[in-house]
Amino acid sequence: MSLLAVVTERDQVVYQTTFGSTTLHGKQLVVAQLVLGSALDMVDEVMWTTRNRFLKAVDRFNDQLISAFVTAGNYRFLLLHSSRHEDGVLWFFLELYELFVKVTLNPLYDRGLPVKSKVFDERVQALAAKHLG
Amino acid sequence: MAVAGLKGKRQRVKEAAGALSMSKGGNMQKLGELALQKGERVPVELLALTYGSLVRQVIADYESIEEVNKQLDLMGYNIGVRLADDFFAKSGVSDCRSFQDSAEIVAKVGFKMYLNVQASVDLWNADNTAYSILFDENPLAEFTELPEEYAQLSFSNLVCGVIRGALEMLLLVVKCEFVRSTLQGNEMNEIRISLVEMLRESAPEDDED
Repeated sequence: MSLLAVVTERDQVVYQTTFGSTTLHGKQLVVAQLVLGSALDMVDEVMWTTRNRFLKAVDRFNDQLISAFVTAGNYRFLLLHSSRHEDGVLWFFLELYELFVKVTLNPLYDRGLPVKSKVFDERVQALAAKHLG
Repeated sequence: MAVAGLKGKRQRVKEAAGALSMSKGGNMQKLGELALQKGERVPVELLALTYGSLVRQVIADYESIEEVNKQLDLMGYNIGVRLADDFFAKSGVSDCRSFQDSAEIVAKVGFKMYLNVQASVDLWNADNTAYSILFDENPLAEFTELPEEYAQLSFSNLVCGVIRGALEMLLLVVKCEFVRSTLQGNEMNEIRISLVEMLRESAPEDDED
C-alpha cells in the first residue's frame, strides 16, 4: 500500500490517493497523512541541496520510505511507499508530472483547489500499477 | 500540433485554389487543406490558453452559465460577420449557392482552415433545413475539463457564434448550438445548425412616386 499527495507551496493538499491491494482505513490513513505532512519539512530542506526535481527518499516511517518530487511550479509530490526500487519511483513521478501539468493547464482549474478530475484519477492509478506494482 | 491562426497575412491562395475547380465534396477537403497550409499558425497552447482565459473572464463577468453561453455566442457572432469576407478572400471557395453548399463549406473548409479540425456534415433533417457538424478534436478546449459547477457551460460556444455570424453575411439566418460535446462526456462534438430564415437581397426601394 502507498499514499500519494500533491501539495502546493502553501501546504494545501490538492490531490491525495492511495494505491495497492490493502486500502488504508480510519486511523491508518490519518497516520499516513501525518507522516507525509511531517515529511514536508524535510522536503523544504532537501530541495535546496540538489538541482534535481526528484529528491529520492527524504524520510522514513517504520519500514516505509517517503520519496518526494518538486515541480518547477513548486508543487510537491509526496509518496509514502515500501518499494525499494528507486527508478520505478522516479519514473512514476516523471509521468505523474506530465499528467499533472495537463491538470494545471485547464483554464477552469485554479491553483490550490482540489483536483477532482476522474480521468486524472484513473491515469494515476494506472501509473502506480505500472511503476510501483 | 499547430493550428491555423485566426489572423493571417494576405495570402496568395487564390491562384492556387482557383486552379482547383470546385466539383463536389472531395475538393472541399482539398481547399480546406490548402487554405490551412497557406495560413499562419499559432501553437495550440497559445490558442487554448488565451481562449480559456477569455472564457474565465466571461464567467467572472456574468452571473449565470446560461448568460455566459449567450455572451460567448455573441462574441463569436461579431467575429463571424468579419470572418466571412476573410474566408472568401483566402479560402478559394468561389460559390455557395444553397444552404446545403454552406454546410459542406463550413465543415470541410472553414473548420480545417481556421481550427485545423477535420469535421463532417451529417444528420440532415427530412426537409434539408438542419444538419450537424461532427468533429472529435477541439483545439479551443485542448486542456479543458469541466468542473461540476460548470457542467452546463458550452465552453466553445464562440464557434457557434462565428458560424451564425458568417452565415448571416450570406443571408442565411441560422440557429446554431452545441448538442454534444466531448467535455460533457460524449465521444464526439456535435454542432447543430438549423435554418431559420433566408434573407432576400434587399433591392433598393422604388422611390419614384
